[in-house]
Amino acid sequence: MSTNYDLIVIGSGPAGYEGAIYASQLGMKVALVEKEQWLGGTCLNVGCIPAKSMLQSALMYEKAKKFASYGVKIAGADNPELDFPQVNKRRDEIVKTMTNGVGFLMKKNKVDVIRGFGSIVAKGQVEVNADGKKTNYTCKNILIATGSRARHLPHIKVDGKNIVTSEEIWAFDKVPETMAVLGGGVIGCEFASAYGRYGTKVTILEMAEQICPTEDHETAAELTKALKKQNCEVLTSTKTKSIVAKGNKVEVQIEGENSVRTFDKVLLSVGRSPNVENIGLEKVGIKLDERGFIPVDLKTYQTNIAGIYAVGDVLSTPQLAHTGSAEALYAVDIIAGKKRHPINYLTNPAAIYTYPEIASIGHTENQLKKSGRAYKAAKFPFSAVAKARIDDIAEGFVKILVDPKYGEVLGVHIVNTKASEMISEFALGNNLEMTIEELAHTIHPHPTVSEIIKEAAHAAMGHPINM
Amino acid sequence: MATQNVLMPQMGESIQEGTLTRWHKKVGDKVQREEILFEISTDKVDTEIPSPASGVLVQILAKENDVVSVNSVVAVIDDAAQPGTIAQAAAPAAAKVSAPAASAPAAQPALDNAKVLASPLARKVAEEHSVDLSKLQGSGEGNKIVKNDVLAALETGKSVSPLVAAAAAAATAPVSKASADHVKSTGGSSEGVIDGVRVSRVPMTGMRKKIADHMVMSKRTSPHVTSVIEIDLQKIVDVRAKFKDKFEAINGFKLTFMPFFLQAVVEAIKAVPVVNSSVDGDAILYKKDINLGCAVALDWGLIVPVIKNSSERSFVGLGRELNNLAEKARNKKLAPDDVRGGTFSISNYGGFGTVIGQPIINQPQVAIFGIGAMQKKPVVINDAIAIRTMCYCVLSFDHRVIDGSDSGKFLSTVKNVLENWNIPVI
Repeated sequence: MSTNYDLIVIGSGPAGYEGAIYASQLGMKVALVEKEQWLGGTCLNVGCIPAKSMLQSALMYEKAKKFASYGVKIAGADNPELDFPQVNKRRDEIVKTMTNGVGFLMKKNKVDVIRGFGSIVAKGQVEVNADGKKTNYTCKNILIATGSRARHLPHIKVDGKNIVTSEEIWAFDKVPETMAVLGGGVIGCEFASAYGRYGTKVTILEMAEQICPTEDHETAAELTKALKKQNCEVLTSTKTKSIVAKGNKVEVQIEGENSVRTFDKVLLSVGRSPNVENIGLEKVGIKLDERGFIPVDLKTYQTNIAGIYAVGDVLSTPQLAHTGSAEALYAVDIIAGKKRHPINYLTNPAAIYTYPEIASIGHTENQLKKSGRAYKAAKFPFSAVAKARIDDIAEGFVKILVDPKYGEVLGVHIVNTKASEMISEFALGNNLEMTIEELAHTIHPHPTVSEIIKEAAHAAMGHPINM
Repeated sequence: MATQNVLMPQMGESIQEGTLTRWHKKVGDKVQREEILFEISTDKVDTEIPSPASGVLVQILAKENDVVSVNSVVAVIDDAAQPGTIAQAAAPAAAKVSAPAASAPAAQPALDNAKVLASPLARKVAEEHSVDLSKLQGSGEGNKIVKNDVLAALETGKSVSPLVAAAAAAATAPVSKASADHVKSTGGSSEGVIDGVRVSRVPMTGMRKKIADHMVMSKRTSPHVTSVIEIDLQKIVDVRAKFKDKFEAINGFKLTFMPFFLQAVVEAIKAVPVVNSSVDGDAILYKKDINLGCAVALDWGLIVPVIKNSSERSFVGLGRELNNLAEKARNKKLAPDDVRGGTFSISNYGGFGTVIGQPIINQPQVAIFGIGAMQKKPVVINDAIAIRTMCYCVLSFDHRVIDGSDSGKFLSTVKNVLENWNIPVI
């Protein structure tokens, strides 16, 4: 293995490994440094992918109960049994297949994978510490893609058994009877939605006025309603005073309540902290911003040090796998000397894989109200779409926020099991600066669930057709 | 039932759109053919448009103060509908006529932005503010012009006239600094203080905006040169004094100085035909007809009615047609034909005492003749000082096709005709 590279990428999450592949495809000699034994980072190993597998099992469990209504009779279908070890096994197999896939892609694209903890020693120099053995590599450029980890709180001791974060929850070998989810954000709601349907009595404790505080208020209200049907109690504007493990239980004291509640498990899901420690930032003079993120120029993703770039969760941009990937490909283009139009984060979609899913892009209605910008809001329900009824996914709506003057689509909020798939049409459209007319005049196949997009666009223009 | 679409008329060869200023009828009203249906205002003409058919006005597609492209459908008349029953039925009627409305070249802006790579949103913003997209550099993927490029152009005034840019920028900025902090808005106008100066901000009328656009376009299109000549008008003054009463008694309208100038200009155009041309790509388009546009100042702006076939008219004929057109202009009765087809223009700024002006060419013409104020002056004639009525006349010309020698020949012909007047006036 050579010790001299065009680009060294630190971190093998979606941003890191995709950036490494692309750089190699552009003709650079690339190394990818990873401290863990696996490749693929949080997303593939302890984040998105296993979580979605758990959610899919929950969905199938729910569907099984409804087989009779589809006209499918299966013995015992009235009372299906959840095989939790199999849920975990299937999840682990998917993760293994995918991480192996990343290893294969590295070989295929001639990216050198270097195992060990990578840190920047100087401009153009990365030291990799593998079990105490240190090796130095030189390079023209460095891409920091070290990602993030579950955030801890000083007064809560995560024991990895009964008080867990999203990184330890995978060790559950059975479905807990009760669980408190501290933090009603994306991760908290997804686990609540999965475990609630497995049969756990879940209590979501959220400090803000609504769960998923960055989402539109109507979306959050719809999700709250849905979660309540899935064994979840949702407490908003709520703070906890103490969370203490006592034997096999966890005692949670909620501010304003006299009694102490007892749960089998507590999931701490209060956001994610960037992995910026010990990677040598101070050695080259990169200072963190006031929130602890690495500052970069968003037209290049270069830090204040020439030749050192950063992407993904270490930035203050949205901490989403696809956002990190997009930033990495962008940064590599810049390193390769290509010209790029800056990423417009208002065209960056977000998705939450609860039941039903939530997907959004652009502004929320409250943001527009607050900014004083004129807008028109239109909402179209899935219950008016035939294919959604056929597929038994008629819950939720598409809400479009439109600039009344030019028809610019300012924000889209979808609540539905297919939401994460449908939001891409808006991502493309907004990236091309479509107006509501183009959306309404785009022919959508019938019958489909996604034809609701055309319907919602017509509604936004003031003339809904099928409602 | 037979319906007829009412179209926005073509008001002149260079005019692509006009402001529909007033409807004389509302949906459901009965209307007779030739009855005044609506009024329009363009950069050249304010006029009343008669109905093309009799029937009931079943649909109005353009609101008052809408800027409408020529040949687009502005209303629909049905010869079989019952008066007064249409208001509620307007929606289905709209659906039926929407096809011809859409197929007409209605929504096309005057600017040809079609071949430029730009996002749909950028196009909409550009269309509203008359931004020429071909003048912009795109900052989007593949150099595509995106919304921000257009907004930036509006801010800096690039690719639009300064006047349009100022109005557009003010209209686009959701909360402009001045209006937010200091300017109190009342309807379309506002009062306030900007940079320590007390101001009233009044939006331009449609006509004003169009004049502004047209003038800027002309200056951008033609390299203007202006030549000046001094003319002794004493003979004209004497001829007019001699014949004016008789002239009015015979012809029924007053003898002014304008027909003398019109006649002299016709002679000069015949002598120098290139001034009666336009530029057609790499060619010069010589116009065989001499149609003199004669600017008429109005309280609400300026219009340029056209005296068709000026070279074929007698002196009285020229005077009568000018008198008719000016009368029609002041009474808003000009028809589209009255302002169409001008090949050369005359501007008479001298009526307000201005001695020398530099008029701007009325595109696509290539020259414009300007008449300054007539004043009595001591002049040297045969080595003696005499008091004569003198006047400075100018020719602003497009130096792409006209040279100084052509201009000199033109002006000296005018001078010669006027100073040695020998054409019968009665």
